[in-house]
Amino acid sequence: MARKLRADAPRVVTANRLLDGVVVYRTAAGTWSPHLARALVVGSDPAVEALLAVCERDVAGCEVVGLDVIEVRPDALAARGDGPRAITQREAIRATGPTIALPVDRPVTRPASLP
Amino acid sequence: MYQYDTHDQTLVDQRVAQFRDQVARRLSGALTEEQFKPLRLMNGLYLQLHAYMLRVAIPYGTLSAAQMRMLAQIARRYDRGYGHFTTRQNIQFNWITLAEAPDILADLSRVQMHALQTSGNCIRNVTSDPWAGVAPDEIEDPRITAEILRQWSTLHPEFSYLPRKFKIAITGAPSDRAAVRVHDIGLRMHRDDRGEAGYEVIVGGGLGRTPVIGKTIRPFVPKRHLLSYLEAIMRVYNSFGRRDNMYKARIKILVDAIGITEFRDLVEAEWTTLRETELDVAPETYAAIAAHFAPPAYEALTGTVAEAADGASDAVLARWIRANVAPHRVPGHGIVNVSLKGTDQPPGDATASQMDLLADLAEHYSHGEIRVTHEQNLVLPHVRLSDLPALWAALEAAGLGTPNVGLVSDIIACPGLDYCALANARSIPLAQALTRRFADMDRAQEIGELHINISGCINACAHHHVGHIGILGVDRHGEELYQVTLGGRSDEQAALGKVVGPAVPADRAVDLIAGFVDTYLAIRQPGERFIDTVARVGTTPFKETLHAAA
Ligand code: SF4
Repeated sequence: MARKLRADAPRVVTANRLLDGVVVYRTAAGTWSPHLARALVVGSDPAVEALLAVCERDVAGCEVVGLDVIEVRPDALAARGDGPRAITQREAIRATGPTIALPVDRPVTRPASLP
Repeated sequence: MYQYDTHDQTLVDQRVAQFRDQVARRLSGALTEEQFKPLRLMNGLYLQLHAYMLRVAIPYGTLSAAQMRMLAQIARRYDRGYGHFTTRQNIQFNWITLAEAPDILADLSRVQMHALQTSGNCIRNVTSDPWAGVAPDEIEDPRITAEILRQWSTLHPEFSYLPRKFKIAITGAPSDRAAVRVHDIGLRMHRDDRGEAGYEVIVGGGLGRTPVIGKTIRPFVPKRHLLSYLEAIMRVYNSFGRRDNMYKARIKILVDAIGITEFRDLVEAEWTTLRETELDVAPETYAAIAAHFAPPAYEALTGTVAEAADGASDAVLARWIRANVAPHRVPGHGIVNVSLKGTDQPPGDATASQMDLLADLAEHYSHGEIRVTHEQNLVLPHVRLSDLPALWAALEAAGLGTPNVGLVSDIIACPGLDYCALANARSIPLAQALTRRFADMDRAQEIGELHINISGCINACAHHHVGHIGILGVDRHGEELYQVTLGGRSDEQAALGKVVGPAVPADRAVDLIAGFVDTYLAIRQPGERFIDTVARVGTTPFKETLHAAA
């Protein structure tokens, strides 16, 4: 649930999709998107509370779990016009995935000596 | 290897069916997340940063080739083509969907595997010496007792809701390769005056927020009475362990609070009601389980690992044998340690194709057996020395021939902030940066034995407190920093590392550790390992490195 965040901070609501755990963000259209850039940004406590109340319905409806509110970077909003961006490393990783190259299951050579 | 009887198989199959029903009820809304979470955790299913993670138990780190093939198939079919071997000798799959989790458990049950008790406040998967049954210094194979403990602790009705999780490790050898002193209960095999094997019982060890080296509660418990003695410990813990504060709930806190003497008195009093009961393991029961762990039919051969290295036709092969192949109790054989710590490989990760190959190699060269180590490597325990060149060539071609076992680049690292919902900082990128810094294998061999352990938070899954060099990720106002300790060890002389200096950013941590290694090389005495030098001189000479790097 909502952490103690600055009352005037730009914030978005995030969760994990129940079915597969994928990180999602609440959009202005009332849907859940895996892209942070599409998230609806709210900037006041009452707006956050109202949004959370609506999102709780999707928790009850088994669409998402682990509802949370995170702060996002306002300068990205203003300067780039490309939607909110994460502030903390944790949220950046939630938004874009692991920072490492994931192992790739390349075929390996099976020695001819093996039966 | 142990084979399930009908009871084991029925229990696991029933659990799969139960979980399938629980998942269906969760997806339909009949169960809330609050109701469902403890049920999924009982089946090893966590919700991590990006997806569900399934932790599969590998009892005492022993796998058959068929089981390894199934893990490969799961990685390929349900995950992203790889799995992560953990410091508790388990495997984790990082990209699981809730809907498919029951199918995975059903697949696992077909090869006598499951995810029971890999989470929750119960007795977790018992861990053991990865060289069990083949180490030259071993008294008896500890997996026989580990299997007895597995059967005793599986769904034990009294110990399914303990104050906190509970970890048991067991070794049958004087050299401790199972870190028994940093477990809730550690068991170390000895012989008594009459030559009978039994166990020293160590209690109250653990890492995490409050690291403690365990204390010996009884120097010798005969094998026959081990279960009743452990049951007595568990009862005392279950009665008096704190349930009001999860940070104070581990047995180490209880032992510390009342003192080992009073704790021992409580256990002994409880034991008087339990010993000589049905908890005693009859010799014939022990023998029946021991039969599952009978040594394979070794050929009568000669030769030592050292001779195999000296006689190797290729210098690179010789270097790999020296680093990765350990002496075996049977002449003409070696214990092959397969490094999962190649450059740029996340520590402990293996791809599905690598797992399949290892299964084939185990069948062909190692009597079908594989072990998982708490250092996040794999072991082929029964290899003929004459097969080493062919085996090495096959491993090398698959990216599994890194000759660094026990060396500076054989880094133990938890998943950290790249995957883990509890993390403060990333572990894997720092491990990879250090691996790159120490990529020169000739230099790594010159440096010699050195264990670096990196945990992404105070939960210490990578056992950083007992790394020769330990690294803990911390979060200071959103910045990832790394706190370094020196002088920890998890062997028979277990000790906790001491903090050296303030936490530093990742790039500084790499420089710092490189500086520690340089200091060691400059001041070591002949034959001294890194940990011996730290023990002799303390941390002061190393702290000077810290100041130089500042
Ligand atoms: S040590 Fe912390 S970050 Fe690392 S795996 Fe354990 S809980 Fe996660």
